[in-house]
Amino acid sequence: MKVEVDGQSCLGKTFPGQSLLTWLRAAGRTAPKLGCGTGDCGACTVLLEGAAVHACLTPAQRAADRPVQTLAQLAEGSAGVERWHAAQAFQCGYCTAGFLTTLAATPPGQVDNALKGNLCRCTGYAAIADAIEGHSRLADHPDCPPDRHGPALLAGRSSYTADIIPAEALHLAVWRAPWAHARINSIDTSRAEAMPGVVAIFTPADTPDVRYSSGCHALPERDPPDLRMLDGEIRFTGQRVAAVVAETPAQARAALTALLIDATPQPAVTTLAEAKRGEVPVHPTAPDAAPNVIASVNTASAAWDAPADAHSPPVIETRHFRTHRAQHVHLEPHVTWAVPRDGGLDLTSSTQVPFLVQAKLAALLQLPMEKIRVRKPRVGGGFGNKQEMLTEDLVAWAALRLQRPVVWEFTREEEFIATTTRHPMELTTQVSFDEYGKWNRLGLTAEADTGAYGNHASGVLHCALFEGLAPYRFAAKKAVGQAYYTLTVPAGAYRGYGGAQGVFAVASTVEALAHAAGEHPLDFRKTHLVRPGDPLTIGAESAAQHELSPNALEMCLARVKAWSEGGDRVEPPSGPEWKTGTGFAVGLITAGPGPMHRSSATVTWEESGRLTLRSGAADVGTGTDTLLATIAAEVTGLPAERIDVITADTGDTPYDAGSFASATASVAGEAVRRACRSLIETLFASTPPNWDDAPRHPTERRTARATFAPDRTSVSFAVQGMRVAVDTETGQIRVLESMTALDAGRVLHPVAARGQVEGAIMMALGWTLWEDLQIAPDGSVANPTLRRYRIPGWGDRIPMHIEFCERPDPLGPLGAKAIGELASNGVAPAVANAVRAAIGITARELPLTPWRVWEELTASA
Amino acid sequence: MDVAGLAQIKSDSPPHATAQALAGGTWLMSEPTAAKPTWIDLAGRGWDDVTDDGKHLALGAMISLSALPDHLARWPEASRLARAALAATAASSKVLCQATLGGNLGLALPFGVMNPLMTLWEARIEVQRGTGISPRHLAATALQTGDQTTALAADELVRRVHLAPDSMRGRGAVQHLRLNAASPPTLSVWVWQTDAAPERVRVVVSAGTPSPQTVLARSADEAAAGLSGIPFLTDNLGPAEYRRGILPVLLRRAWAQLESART
Ligand SMILES: Cc1cc2nc3c(=O)[nH]c(=O)nc-3n(C[C@H](O)[C@H](O)[C@H](O)COP(=O)(O)OP(=O)(O)OC[C@H]3O[C@@H](n4cnc5c(N)ncnc54)[C@H](O)[C@@H]3O)c2cc1C
Ligand code: FES
Ligand code: FES
Repeated sequence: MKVEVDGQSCLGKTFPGQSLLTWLRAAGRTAPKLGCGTGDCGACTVLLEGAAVHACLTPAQRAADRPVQTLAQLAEGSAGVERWHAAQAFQCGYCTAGFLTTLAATPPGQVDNALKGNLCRCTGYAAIADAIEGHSRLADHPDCPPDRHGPALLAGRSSYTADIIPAEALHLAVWRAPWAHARINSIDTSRAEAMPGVVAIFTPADTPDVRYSSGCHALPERDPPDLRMLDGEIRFTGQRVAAVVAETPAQARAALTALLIDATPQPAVTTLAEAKRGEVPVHPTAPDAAPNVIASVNTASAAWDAPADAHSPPVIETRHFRTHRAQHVHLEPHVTWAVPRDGGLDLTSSTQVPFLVQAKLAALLQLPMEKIRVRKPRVGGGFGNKQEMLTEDLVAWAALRLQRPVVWEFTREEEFIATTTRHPMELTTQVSFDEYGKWNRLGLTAEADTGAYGNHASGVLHCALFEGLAPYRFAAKKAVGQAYYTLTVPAGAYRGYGGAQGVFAVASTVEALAHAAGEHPLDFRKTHLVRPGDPLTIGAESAAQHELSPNALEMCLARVKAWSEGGDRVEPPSGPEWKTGTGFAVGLITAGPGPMHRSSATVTWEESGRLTLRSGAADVGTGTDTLLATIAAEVTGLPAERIDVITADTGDTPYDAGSFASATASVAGEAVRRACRSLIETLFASTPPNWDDAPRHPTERRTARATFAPDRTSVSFAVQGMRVAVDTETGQIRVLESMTALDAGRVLHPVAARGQVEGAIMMALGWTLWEDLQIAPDGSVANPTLRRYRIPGWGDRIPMHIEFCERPDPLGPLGAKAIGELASNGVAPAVANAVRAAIGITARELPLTPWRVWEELTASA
Repeated sequence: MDVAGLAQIKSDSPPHATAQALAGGTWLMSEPTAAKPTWIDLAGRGWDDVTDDGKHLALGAMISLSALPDHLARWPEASRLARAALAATAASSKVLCQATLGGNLGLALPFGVMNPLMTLWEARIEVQRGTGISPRHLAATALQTGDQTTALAADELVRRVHLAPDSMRGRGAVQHLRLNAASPPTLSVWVWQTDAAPERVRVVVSAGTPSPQTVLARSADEAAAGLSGIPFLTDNLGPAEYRRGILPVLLRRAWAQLESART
């Protein structure tokens, strides 16, 4: 078949049912991306004879002999591209080609309908709206360097893992279990082996009998080793059972249908209630733990345990809350490819944690670390879901066994059924009052459903309790929590890492108390929030590694209060049925990852008169490569354009624990700062350095290295307000506007920081109102497509007022604090509290769908 | 997405019972369907014909959804309603340019927009049967029988939709309740009042029901009474109880919208 692509004649074979998208990509035209394959995300948009189409929905053969244009051609001289650059309307950029290509064929006035089919998970659409309106964020911040990957990205030329797969790579596909709980009796591979193109089939018997965790942390022992590469014991619908490796993806998928797998289904445990009964153990757990309990916390301060005054026993109030599963929906699915080399492997992967993957693979495959090189090209978002080893193990194993390059690309459905989710939790707050009615005690209980495997279970449970309780300054506190296994898709790390769940329960409770006390909720909070010097406690435990240094919390509270008193800026829908209300929340997160996180950096002054910065930190689309260059520029006094940044390659950059817990700015950034300082001290006798007169030493004397492993970090606060309108007849909620004030230390890159906050707010709004990964009674995921799992789209964007209240942090690099997750945790309680203010009902369960609100309204009527 | 297990896509042979008709391809390429190894491509067969004798309008099954409002231009209110209906779908304008009238009718999704619209306008559906057999006609109300089921036999396809002026001259309104801006509606209520018989309004309820449910009524209350026994779906867009509960609200709002269109 011949297609004219970007003005050039392109020849390639096609097969019946092939989409134009995979045809183009197989022909090396990788500007359009695969986000969903179902016409829901728009990442694959191309122009076919000048009309925008989803290439994934277009049968390839319909494009024969017709002109197709991709961003690679459309970008040349495009005003849209200029505006995208000026507004920095991208983060990971995976959606960018789809947006720009769609808009290239959209007349003004039809943008809203056109963009209905384009999703962006990172930006919250605010920077995209600025780009469309011609507003330049770079002009607002002339000192802010643009993202250094922008030019390639906006030209349709950036390299994500799936864009640079070696042509000779074999393709891996996996047969996934249709049962929640079963024991595999036999796998007959004979028919599949005889199918065209099939090179190998792996079953549990062919893979190492080693247990590990997919979760990646700097401290690996935190997660239980409960996962096998391929397992004959099935613990969730979607679990890997057997893998086929074939010459083409279609051949691999076809062979899966020829596998004959016999299994004996076992009783399923798909809810927390069933797991707690313990009748069906999911895994053997520690002898002293209750069945299915994989992590637990139980700590109370001495004041909590102090005997009650018999004359005036405390009045105790308890409130119950429930939160739900959510999926990260980074637009780029998981993908990994590996090439065998000298008894080892070169592995390229869409990961947040290349060095931790390297260490895990070395242990699993029993290879020395230096035999495994892991590098991360451009990544299309992660949000925690790529802090897991979900693809690399099997790809590495297959490539080593076959001694040929192997690639594995997840489908969108696999993302939903077989990666990880946010932990659903049942939460209970306990408050009590003294004899004068003054609030004096706070307790939080959390029960988390970690699904079939325990990756991140313990960390997420701790974070839920810590971030819920630590902001409040009571002597009497108690934290109780358990994480339970169930036979469902595993939960894992998700932006906020448990904090969102804990803060939802506590911030909803605090707002109710404020209303009962007749105080403005922010004034009421101010009385009870911790102050500099206070310990950060959750019971008897205090977080020694986190410190409450001087911060901007009071300023944040004042800003949001002033906003709340500023009257309606956004008109609610008209009609007496719409009622409006404003709600608030205060969230705390640790402003860095804590002592187990380590990062190293090297800087080399090159003979060419440029600085090369090497860091293991992984930019997963959050702009951290640019941020590290900004830090280096500030310390060295060099312009950012004279700094080359090489990151996230275990073969070429020094160690970094990875991009999670908002760590890159605070840990990798500090390592870069120290390395730069050390280089200046080596090269120059006096400061400021004159780089053009730098001594011509040999390379090693022009290189400096530094490592940073924080023993303490600060905490940061976000104060949030949400204004909503609620339709009292249907239960529909419209979010009218939001206000977020952040205690952000010193903001090093205001454009990138703003983008992070906007993205976090919209993602959290999706979880609060619409997104709900549902589990069917048989344990399977009931809505594993973007069509049925609704993330926020272009039409859902809201006005977001964001204010950075800057007060340099004594512990962060150049005074900076981590902000990537800061704005996510308070959104749900602020919305729920606004609904309460509007219509008087208390939202105890998320998401706040119209039917949930309507049921409450009906019940209260 | 690439469709697995397909042996061929034929452009030159007539549709038949053992093959799947490929129209715009927007659903066939995105949702796994019961595998038929052959697809018959309906493009390029002249099925996007539009015949307008000055009174009746016949729209070929392969016209795109996005083209519908323009084809209805001589009935401005109907055209406006069609435009509003398309704007309220979960489909992008890219999908609407590629998806077809026949594909939408034949797919018969509960939240599909063409079956309720054609029911509202009392369209007649021309059904193409196997080669050499003369077409049959059926009322639009009878086409969709349930959630993705129709009255079409395995070898039958929608060939044309016939619209008559008496049904098309009038005014209408539609009310949707949606989870978020681009989600398919949880419930839709459509009303249409013809100039020829203005005293009774045709009401269609869709999205929350397996197939469009219709009644003629003089008021929102009468419509609510007439629709009281209809079945509702429970799915990820909402439970049946909720849909049943808000039906009177949407009926009342649709009626008010119709009133304001009239004045
Ligand atoms: C992201 C997305 C969101 C969507 N949201 C909505 C929505 O909110 N509301 C809505 O109404 N639709 C929605 N759709 C559905 C869209 O309108 C359908 O995909 C479309 O109507 C099917 O049309 P098609 O021409 O592409 O059909 P195809 O995908 O080619 O075929 C679909 C089915 O119809 C059959 N068929 C095709 N032609 C005929 C015919 N002439 N007679 C009988 N059967 C036929 C096919 O055999 C097949 O079974 C959405 C689609 C997508 C991709
Ligand atoms: S990949 Fe085509 S729309 Fe998502
Ligand atoms: S920038 Fe849009 S999806 Fe990442």
